[in-house]
Amino acid sequence: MNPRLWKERATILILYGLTGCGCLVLAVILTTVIMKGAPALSGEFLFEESRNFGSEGGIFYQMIGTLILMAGAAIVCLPVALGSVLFQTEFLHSPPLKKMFRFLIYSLNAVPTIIFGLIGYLFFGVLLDAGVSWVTGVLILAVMILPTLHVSIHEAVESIPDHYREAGLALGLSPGQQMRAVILPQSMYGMVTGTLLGLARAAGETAAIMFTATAFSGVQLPQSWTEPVTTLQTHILVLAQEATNPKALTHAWGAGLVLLTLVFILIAATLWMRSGMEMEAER
Amino acid sequence: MTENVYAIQLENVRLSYSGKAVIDGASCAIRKNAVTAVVGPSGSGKSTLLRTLCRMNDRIPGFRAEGSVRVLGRVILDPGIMVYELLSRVGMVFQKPCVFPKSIYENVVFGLRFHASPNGENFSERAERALRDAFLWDEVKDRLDQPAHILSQGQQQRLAMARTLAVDPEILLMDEPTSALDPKSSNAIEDLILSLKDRHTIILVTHSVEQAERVAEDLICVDDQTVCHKPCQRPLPGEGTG
Repeated sequence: MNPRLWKERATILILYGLTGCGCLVLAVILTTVIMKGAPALSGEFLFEESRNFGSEGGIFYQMIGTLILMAGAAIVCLPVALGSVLFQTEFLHSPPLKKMFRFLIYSLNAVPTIIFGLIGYLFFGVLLDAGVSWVTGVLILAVMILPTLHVSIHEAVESIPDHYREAGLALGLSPGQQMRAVILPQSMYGMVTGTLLGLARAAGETAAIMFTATAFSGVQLPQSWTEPVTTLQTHILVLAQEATNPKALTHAWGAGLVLLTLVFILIAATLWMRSGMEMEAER
Repeated sequence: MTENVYAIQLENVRLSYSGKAVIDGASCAIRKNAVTAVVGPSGSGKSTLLRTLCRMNDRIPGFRAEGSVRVLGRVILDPGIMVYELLSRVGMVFQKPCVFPKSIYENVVFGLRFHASPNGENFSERAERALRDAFLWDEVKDRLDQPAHILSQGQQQRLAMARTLAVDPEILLMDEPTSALDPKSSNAIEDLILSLKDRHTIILVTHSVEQAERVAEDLICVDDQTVCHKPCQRPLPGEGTG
């Protein structure tokens, strides 16, 4: 055989193998979580509160707590991310400053999440006196998902064809009007996908919120700004680490399956909305 | 006196990208309510000159404009000038038609929404007038709510013109508006230019000297960093010949 053809085939085979390895890991995780978590799923499990240290009842308030933190983080983070992107793309004209701004955002993405938890607790919890509360959790998660949202919105804004901006400018639109009429509508898909991906990241986060925003038991819906919530992540972690009752462990797998489903729903929604909005933009 | 006759006056203008001059020492004046064609070889700086008249080049890194450019009596290279206020009086039509991913009607009133006075002007009437002025009304009047992208290139270019006309600018800058169009659409745009000159000052950048001779009263030739003004090939209506 021709050595060049042989090398080409070997390369393709290695690439297939590497892709297969990645898919295999995902398949093993999914299969394990589904097989171990499915027996726990029931109406009672989804809609009742946890009892007897997690070995009875369900995960209703854990789901609500997770959703409160996720939604709160998105509501806080989206305007900040949007503002920082518009500042970077529309008002920051110096290339070195733009580069530095981008570097800062990427650096923020690389910070370990436990550091976010620590700094976040010191700043929001202690300095601003929010304590261990859902508000502290929301603010920490908002800072944590900021780079994800920023990068996604930035990509969408940068990909707006220049002739749209020039057409808006040629009509005498002021910078604010230009943003409202041209930039925001054209980058909507980036905002939506960035928010959903950020939420998916927030949904999976445990370390940053474990000691700053959540409690394992004795918590239902927060009645004030300063109360903690209970979340799926904390519930899974505590049950998996400390439960001696096999039923509690099954509940941990069940909660894991619910959390994974939530994340996959967000990712699927991202892909669906992205393709829909891209098609709309291309029309 | 000169401000009543001339819409635009350039004095010793130098345009450069990163220090490299594209046009140097240009001086000329462009008459009001006339069509002035800017001709010259590719890369000579025709579009750069045109875009300078509405400060559209400000966004390009390294671009620098020096000298004096007066548009409708105002010195526009002054850093304190509000560019978007200038652009509401000086409209621009580009080489490639640009329509927004919206309906035909929404495209026409796109700029109008931000310039109309707050005493409740009727957008529909303004849109119809702009589409009639752009010779497009009869072709689109029954499908105003359909996406603008379904129109042909020639129709899209006339829609872009209607969108600009709806804002009612005094000066229209056109950067090779027919270069991407077939001959039939080009003729339609030329007819449109001729029909607009009584109400607007039009500056048309074109590759085609024939086109310039068909539609323009004055010629500006741009070549080798210089600008040469050939005034008044044909007298304007109402101007004496002797």
